Amino acid sequence: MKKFLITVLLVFSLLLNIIHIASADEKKAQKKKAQKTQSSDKIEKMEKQIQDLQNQYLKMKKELEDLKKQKGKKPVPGEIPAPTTSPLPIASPSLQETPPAQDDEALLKQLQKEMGEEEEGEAAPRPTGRQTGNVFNPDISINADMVWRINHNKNIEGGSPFNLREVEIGFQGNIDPWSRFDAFIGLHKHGDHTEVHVEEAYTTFYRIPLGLQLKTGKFFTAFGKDNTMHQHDRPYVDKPLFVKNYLGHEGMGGTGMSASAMIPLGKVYGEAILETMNDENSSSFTGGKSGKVLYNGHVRLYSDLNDSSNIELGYSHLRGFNDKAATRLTQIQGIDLTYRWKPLRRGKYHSFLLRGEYLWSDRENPDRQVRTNGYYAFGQYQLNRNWYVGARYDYSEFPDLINTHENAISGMLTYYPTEFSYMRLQYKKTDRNFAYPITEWLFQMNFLLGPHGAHKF
Amino acid sequence: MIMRMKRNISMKSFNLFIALMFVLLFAITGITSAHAKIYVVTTTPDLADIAGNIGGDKVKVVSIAKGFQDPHFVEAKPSHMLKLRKADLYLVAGLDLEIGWSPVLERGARNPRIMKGASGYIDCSSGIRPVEVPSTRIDRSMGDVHPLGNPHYLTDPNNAIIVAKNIAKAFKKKDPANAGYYNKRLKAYVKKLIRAQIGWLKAMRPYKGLKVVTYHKNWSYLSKRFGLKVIGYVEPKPGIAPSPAHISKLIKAMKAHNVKILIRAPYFESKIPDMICRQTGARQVVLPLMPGAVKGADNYIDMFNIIISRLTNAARAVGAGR
Repeated sequence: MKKFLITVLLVFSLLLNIIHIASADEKKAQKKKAQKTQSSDKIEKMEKQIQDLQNQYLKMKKELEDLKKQKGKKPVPGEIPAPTTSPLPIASPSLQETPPAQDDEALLKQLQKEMGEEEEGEAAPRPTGRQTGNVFNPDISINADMVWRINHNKNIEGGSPFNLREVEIGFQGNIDPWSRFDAFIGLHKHGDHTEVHVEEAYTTFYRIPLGLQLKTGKFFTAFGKDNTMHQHDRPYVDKPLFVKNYLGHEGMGGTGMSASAMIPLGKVYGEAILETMNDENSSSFTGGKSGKVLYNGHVRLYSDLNDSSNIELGYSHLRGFNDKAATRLTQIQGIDLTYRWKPLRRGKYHSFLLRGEYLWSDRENPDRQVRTNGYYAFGQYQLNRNWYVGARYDYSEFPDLINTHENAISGMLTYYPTEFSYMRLQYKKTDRNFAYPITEWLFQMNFLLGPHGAHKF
Repeated sequence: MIMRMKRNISMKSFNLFIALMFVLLFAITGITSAHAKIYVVTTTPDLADIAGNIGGDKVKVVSIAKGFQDPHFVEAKPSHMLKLRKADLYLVAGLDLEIGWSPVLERGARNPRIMKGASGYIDCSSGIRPVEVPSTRIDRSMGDVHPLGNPHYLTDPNNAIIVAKNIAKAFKKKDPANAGYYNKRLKAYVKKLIRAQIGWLKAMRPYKGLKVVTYHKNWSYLSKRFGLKVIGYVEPKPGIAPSPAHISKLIKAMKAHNVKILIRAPYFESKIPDMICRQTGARQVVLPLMPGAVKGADNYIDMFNIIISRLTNAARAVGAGR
């Protein structure tokens, strides 16, 4: 608990620092503003010039019209003659109110012709870029995730330095007007063979009354924030310790059903999710031996603080049996809090994210109740268009053990050449009260091939 | 015994939690406020301005993106979903401009009226002649290329007329009782756009063939309409951050072609353009890409007034023109 407090303090001081930096930026911006007042004078001048131009143009137009009146209905060269049948108000008191529109269009065409580089032809049919037979294929994407372990402590279990951690193939698309299908197949190396693993494969029904959405199939449990992320979306190389210890090395997921509802509370966005799924998890539950299902509930509230920053709070409650006979319950609860800052004007170049998740587990064992917990705090700052720097502190106990815990401190630097690839270096030091500490340097490379998918928020 | 009690308590709290969630679920999701006006949500502020001009007081228009934002990279925030949830019509620019964020909002809004394929989903690019449509097979080695062509088509004021007509059509379909009202407003607005464009074309006439460099491919339509010659881009490829090698090449090209104008949308950084301008003696012109992007550009026509005045002033200052 003490450590938790320390982390919170650390995180707050980090936040203060960031705010300080931001305010310094503002000061700079103010200075610039002072310079800009001069240029706003210039703008005013320009606006005046435009107005003068417009007035000039209107005058010319009136003259032209007067000329026309004198010459009768002789067409002016370069202009399409007005159809004689149209009742054109010739003697208009105000030019702006009732101008002969036909003349405007003709003049516009003439000017456009003069300025344009070439004569425009017919609108070309838009190429689809695909053969017609492929049009209804789903969006296919491939993600390769590689992790190079630069050095590792000889005290711990080995593991090769070069690791193609995962190749994930995604298939996504609409099935019909009512539903959509998302599947992610992961290929992992396990020892000397490769395992094919259905990470997620679910159908979502979007058009259900009351704005409900139903999901059926296999999916990640909506427990907190980190657990629902695909590996390549994580802003760090590894998973936070408590996710591994309580929710599993692959994260928690299962086959089942999920219903979600949007709860609009004025300017606050709320969402409630209820899920039930097979007991496929063996970290906190029985891994299918109980033959029962797990229940999970998740509520989240999101609010914009202003245009640039927002805050999100979530609560999750997961419940299932931890023994074959299905008599003893495990309940895991979690709170997650996220703060995001991304200035709209300079959002391409700077952003900041602060996230904390806290989890506590109540496990009924034959002899007693085991209460354990874990948490992490993570912050990330975007330095410029391509570079991100981040840090994370982890603390985790274990679901079935008392007085056993580990904690880790990590720092990472990420380079995104484009949004389709990144490289990340992470330092991680793990201290454990039951074994030797581990110091790791990890280098991750991630490549995404495929269509431009929309970014989840 | 104690354990059993504890378990009962925790069971109770979980059941309470579930019950509460159900109550929230059914009590609140059903409520949708009835509004007399057509509630229109647009992805970008230029569409919002045009829609407001046609809809008048029969519509309420809200834009998701702000004018000074990069329209490619808007975050799919849940607060945007709240806006979209109540929408009767959703106007998108199309040509994949919003592909990085709009699909998430469309699904998250849970509003069947505006989902793709529904009558409330209006792609405003219908009838636009896109430029830079790839004629060969494309892939990402060419940067963030748009398979359907350049999506910044509203930098040609002539396309605003097409968009205005598309929007009026959507309004008339949604609200046939007021078709006459929309028709009248469309006519008046198109007339205004035509007159304004005549003024802009005349103002730019002396500078036909003006050579420019732009940061991103934001200004292809503008260049085509107003006779600008784009010699190069600060980005080596669309969506790719500038590299030193590319910049030095660009500077050489600018010197060789005697390019004295560099155009940048306000959401791009100014450090590299500043450096390029220092080395080439070019002037940097910040042009609003959408209404609200710079001060004074509150609507589409005012925005274009600023575009043309800044361009002509810069051109005059560098001694271009006949």
